[in-house]
Amino acid sequence: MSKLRVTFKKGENMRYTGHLDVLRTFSRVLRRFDFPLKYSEGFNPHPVMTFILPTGVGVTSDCEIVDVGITDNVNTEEFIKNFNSVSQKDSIVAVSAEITDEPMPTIVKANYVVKILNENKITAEEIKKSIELPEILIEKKSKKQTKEVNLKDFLFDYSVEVINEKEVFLNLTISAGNTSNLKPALFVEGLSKVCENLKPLYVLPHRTRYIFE
Amino acid sequence: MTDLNILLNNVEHPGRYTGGEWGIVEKDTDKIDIRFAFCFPDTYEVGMSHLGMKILYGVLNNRPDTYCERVFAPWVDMEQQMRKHNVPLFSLETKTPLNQFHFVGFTLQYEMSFTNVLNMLDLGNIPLTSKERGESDPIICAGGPCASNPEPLADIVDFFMMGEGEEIIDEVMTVYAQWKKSGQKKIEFYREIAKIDGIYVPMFYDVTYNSDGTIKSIEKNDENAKDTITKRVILDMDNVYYPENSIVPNIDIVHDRIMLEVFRGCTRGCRFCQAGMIYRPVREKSPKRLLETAQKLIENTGYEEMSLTSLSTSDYKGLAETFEGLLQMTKPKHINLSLPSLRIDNFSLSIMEKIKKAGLTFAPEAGTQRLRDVINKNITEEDITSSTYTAFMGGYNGVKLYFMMGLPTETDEDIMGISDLASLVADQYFKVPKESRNKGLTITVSTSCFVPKPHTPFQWEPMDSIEELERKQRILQNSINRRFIKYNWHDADLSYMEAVFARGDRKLNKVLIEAQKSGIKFDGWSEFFSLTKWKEIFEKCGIDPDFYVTRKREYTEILPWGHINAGVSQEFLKRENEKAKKGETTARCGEHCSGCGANTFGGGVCYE
Repeated sequence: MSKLRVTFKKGENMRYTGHLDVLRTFSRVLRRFDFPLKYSEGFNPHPVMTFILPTGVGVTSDCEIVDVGITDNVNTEEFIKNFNSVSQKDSIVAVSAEITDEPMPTIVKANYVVKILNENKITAEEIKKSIELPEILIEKKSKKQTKEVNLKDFLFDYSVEVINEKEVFLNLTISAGNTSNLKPALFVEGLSKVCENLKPLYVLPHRTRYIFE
Repeated sequence: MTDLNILLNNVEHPGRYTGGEWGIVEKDTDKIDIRFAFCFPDTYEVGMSHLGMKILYGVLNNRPDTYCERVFAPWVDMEQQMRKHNVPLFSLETKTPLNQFHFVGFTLQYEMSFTNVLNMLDLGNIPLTSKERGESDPIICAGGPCASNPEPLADIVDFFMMGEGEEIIDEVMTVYAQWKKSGQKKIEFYREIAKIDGIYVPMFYDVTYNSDGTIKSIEKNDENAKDTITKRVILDMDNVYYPENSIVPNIDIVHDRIMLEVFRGCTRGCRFCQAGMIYRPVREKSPKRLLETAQKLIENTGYEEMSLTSLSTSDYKGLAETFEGLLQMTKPKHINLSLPSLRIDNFSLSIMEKIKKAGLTFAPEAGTQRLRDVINKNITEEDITSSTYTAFMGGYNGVKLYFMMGLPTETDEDIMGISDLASLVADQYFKVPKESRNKGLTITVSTSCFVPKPHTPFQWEPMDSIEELERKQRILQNSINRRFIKYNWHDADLSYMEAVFARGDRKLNKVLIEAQKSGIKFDGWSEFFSLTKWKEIFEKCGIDPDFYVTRKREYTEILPWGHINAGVSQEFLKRENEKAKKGETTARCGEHCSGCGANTFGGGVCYE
């Protein structure tokens, strides 16, 4: 049997939910209506689900993708309706679905809108000036090691907008995926080290789009 | 209010504070007469695992005039952020500050959460004592097992609800709705609810003391108050409200699953066990009702696990029928069934084979038969060896054994008996032929410290001192000499403080207030608990904590909870304590009635 590829939003109610709990929540929504969910074989069967990229704690998204194993055919229109009727509003919202045999596409970049509330007044020019520096260095931790990286190597495109003198909207296109991945919060952290006036009270990243290979 | 994201960006596990889960109740607050903040004085993860809260959340929100919301104790990092940004403690549903509710209700599940009760009031900008609170402040109420000795919180909580909450909380809300229209003072509301069975309004009782600190008298000072407050009991378990939906958290919690309550009470009568006494009489739900409820909960929550809850699941008469029905329901949907509280003496491997293998735990509670008879834990050595042998034959290679230390009449021989029993269990493993047993035997022995609790036969008995408990822990540690037996013990310091509040009186209110002021909270969490800090508080208040812990009470002494009837008579408790001293056991309810007094409620096992 093929699989159902679902594009979904991770809404404000799930912002502070980590990837494992998003996965768990997703499978619980599927169990609330008549859905031919496929389970893995073996001693401890679990729903067959593959997420394109984990979304971390603190991040919301418009463009998450998951492949769900199915044991029977699914009417995609009805699926969206049924799914959203038993999912908490502004949590996980199914946007579109298709039945497919294709492997998951490979992500190389992602686009984020990062909302920052700054402690002091700040201008877009100040921020731009800092982003335009040749190097923005920061320690990047991975499971294996911590090493210093230049954030500019991960940045492909950006724009800045400041509203009410303190609300910064940073539009970032940065590396994403299995080969090279950058968390937008880390970008802001690095940026605040070179941009003297940038002192975020909070950083709220929102993923808007994936860019594939 | 400050944008919460500022706080949430600076704390661990921010998902604890956001609300917005599946299954929450949303109401238009403009159309609501009564706003109730249901407070659990511990973290979100602990509180959300509590069945009582799920039930009462449903009961209150079923009333069109009432909106019940949830409040949990913020972790210390969040508290720091809240105090820094002047954000008062708020409800998860509507983020309303605690002091804007009509009722702030606490569930008291364990004594070590008392300091969190005070700290939550303080964080909610609510004065700590009834006396300091004015007409516009919320009314503070509490219930739960620790309310069966409410005295350590008598100055802080305005009224307590004794026993099971489903009916009484509804009756109180009805009185409140009428009172609110009348425009009278709060005192009139308290007078009105004092007439309801199970309501205790501490300010309507005066307590006087003898020169030695014991109680001289407890007398009511208002004609509406009752001489004795008797706990409430739900008799018709099949028709009482039970939630058919549950809030499904967005983050992992302690017990993240469907909880299906099978029955209340316990027929066994273990003499140390407060739950076994105060939830009498045993009242079961029918398998039919359980299966209907289970079906709805499965459909509505989407949970992948279901657990049966009771004090002793294998005593449930309809277990076989219910289990079969649940298995048929859960298997096709890949829902794991778990059955905690299966007893050692009728442990059923056939059931265990059909569900996901969980750890194997037995609670003999005492190391020798003599001491097990004293505490009326009616398990024999033969029961333990035969069932562990069967379990090892069935592929188990690990078992956890739970014991208590400091039980009445305990000697060093009883302590060594724990090690002997663990060794005997190990022998059962080696009796199983090598080819049919699983490799890698681990036996974990855990000991907790016995804390005498109110409304139990041991309520008059002294608790062991910390030194004595630690000496016993060393004896046991030294007598365990087989490498596959591991030994864990419970911190005696913490049990000591639990003992203070378990049998405390009104004099402890000022201790709690002082403790809150000096920043004591989350005592149940070992990283925060400090006996040294507590001792400073006692010293400052001029109170000797040993008075509550290591002192033997005479039967003639007026106990702080003497005016509370938790369902079993004092005569029964005395009788049981005397039998304990002689090592005589008492048969379980249903086999032979021990005349505990719970039959006065007119239902349950007493009339079957």
